[in-house]
Amino acid sequence: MVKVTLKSAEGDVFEVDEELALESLMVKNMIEDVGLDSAISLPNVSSTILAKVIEYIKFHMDAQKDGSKKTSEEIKAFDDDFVNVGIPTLFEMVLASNYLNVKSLLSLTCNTVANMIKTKPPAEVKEMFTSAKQAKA
Amino acid sequence: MEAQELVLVKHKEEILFSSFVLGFNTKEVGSHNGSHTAMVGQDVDIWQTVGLWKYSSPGLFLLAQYALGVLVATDLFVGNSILKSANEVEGIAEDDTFREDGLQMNQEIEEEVLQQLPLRDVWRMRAVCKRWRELIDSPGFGVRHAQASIPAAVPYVLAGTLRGRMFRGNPFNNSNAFNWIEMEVCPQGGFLIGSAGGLLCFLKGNQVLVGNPVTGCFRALPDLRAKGLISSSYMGISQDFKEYTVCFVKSRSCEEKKVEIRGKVRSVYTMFTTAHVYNSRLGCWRAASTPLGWCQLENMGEMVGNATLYLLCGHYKNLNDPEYVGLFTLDLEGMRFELKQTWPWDERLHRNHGLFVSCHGRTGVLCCTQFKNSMQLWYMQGETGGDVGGENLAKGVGKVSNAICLNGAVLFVEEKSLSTTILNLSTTDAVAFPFQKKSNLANFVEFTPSLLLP
Repeated sequence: MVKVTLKSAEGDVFEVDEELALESLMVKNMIEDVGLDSAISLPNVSSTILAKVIEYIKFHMDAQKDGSKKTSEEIKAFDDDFVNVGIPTLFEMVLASNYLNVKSLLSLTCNTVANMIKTKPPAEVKEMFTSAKQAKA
Repeated sequence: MEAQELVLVKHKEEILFSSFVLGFNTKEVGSHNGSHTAMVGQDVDIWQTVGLWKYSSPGLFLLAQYALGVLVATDLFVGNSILKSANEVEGIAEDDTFREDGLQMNQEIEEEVLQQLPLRDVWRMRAVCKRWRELIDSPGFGVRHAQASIPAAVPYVLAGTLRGRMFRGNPFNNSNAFNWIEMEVCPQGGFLIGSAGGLLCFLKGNQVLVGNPVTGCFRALPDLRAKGLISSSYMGISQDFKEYTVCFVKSRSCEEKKVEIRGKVRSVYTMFTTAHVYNSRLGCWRAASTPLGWCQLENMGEMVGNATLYLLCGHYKNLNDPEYVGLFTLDLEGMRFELKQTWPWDERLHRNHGLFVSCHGRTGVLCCTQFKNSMQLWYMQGETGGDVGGENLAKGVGKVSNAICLNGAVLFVEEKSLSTTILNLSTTDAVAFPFQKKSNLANFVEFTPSLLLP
């Protein structure tokens, strides 16, 4: 199995299967451009977030494989649990999935954000976003 | 859809929408009212921002005014509270930090998130920050939101009266009790004549107005200057929600000819039907007429998307002597009428029995007729004119004054009791809804709220 090396913002190195890395359209384009020899550096994605993104893609790839025993309830439970994180982490995941161009993760995280702001009054939404911003800064 | 000629009505915008929100979800009222007063408050006299109208009885109001007078006299209040409350009002939409960096996400993601919200939440999110407001108000956002939300939405039914009042009902939400709730019409007034993609069309004299009651944005179309009475009107929108079409049909217009019959000069009336079509992309009215002798049967037509208008016409030898029935299509791009089908005249088509029709697809005509005291559904297809169905749908119905074919259902109004009834065509269940007000519902349209610009 061909391996791809991904380098996070902090410089941590993640070695993943090529098949998994290709789920990210951004990485796919990079591989087409520069090949597999050098590590692909992702300066916009932190190590924690990159680890989470890899975990997500891996779970869904396994679930889609033939002979997978995962039910749709299990997949949904994984997704629910996966996005059950603090707002700052969630926002980082939205940005990362957009940057890495992972469509399924982007719609999952955006949907989570949308559900969070759905019934809130505008002032609370603003507060939510401001605190997320401060936490990051 | 150009944003030119837009008539933005500042206060109406909020008021119209708040009446909508009340209907959507009563739980939202409290939170929405907060932003509602805040947004209106910016343009209102400073005294109103203190909130005097909140007092339930006049006694409390007077007491508060007296107390305010004392405070103002001692100069305590003006310095602090009023200015403070004025700043709070501004704060919702005018925060500087928010104006500059938005919400730290790029616009693409912000849109992705906002697109997933239902309409009432999207509209409230306009108050979060200036960037979001600009994003939501942009024409492209409304179009994309409509593309995603309208096909899945459960439509409302709006009813217009002859006196220009408008009522909203929600008969498709599976509840047994539905009421007609009065709504504010467009600021300029007029009769409700059509609806498509969340836009409403009103007619006032020669003036045609198209507007979105959610955003309060209205636009006047070029005046419709054509002789004769309007017999029916339609509004349609393209599948991608980017252009809409308004269509007025004027039939029973008569053309007079002097003909010599047995030595005497007599007037002969020939009937025909003219369709006046406005397309938002072309921005002008165009007209096309059926061949002489063909006249649209009462209110019998339907527009499919914004591409084709179906009209059911009768061919008359003279004024009261129909020979046969024909289904015409009008290609709204090329403005050409084409005769698709003809059937022999059917007694049930006679006006006195009341007939209401809707064309579904190109294969035939679905008719809902009243015959004596029952509603009948029948379906004309092919050259034989054979009617499939013809079953009794609802018995014991009094004289029907109006009806429309909705998607999978027929809605009709009894002339005497003014009761509206929804007839489900697949289950043939009929549910009646009394109409309390003393006005006759004249026109019905399906309506799905959207953010589209007129």
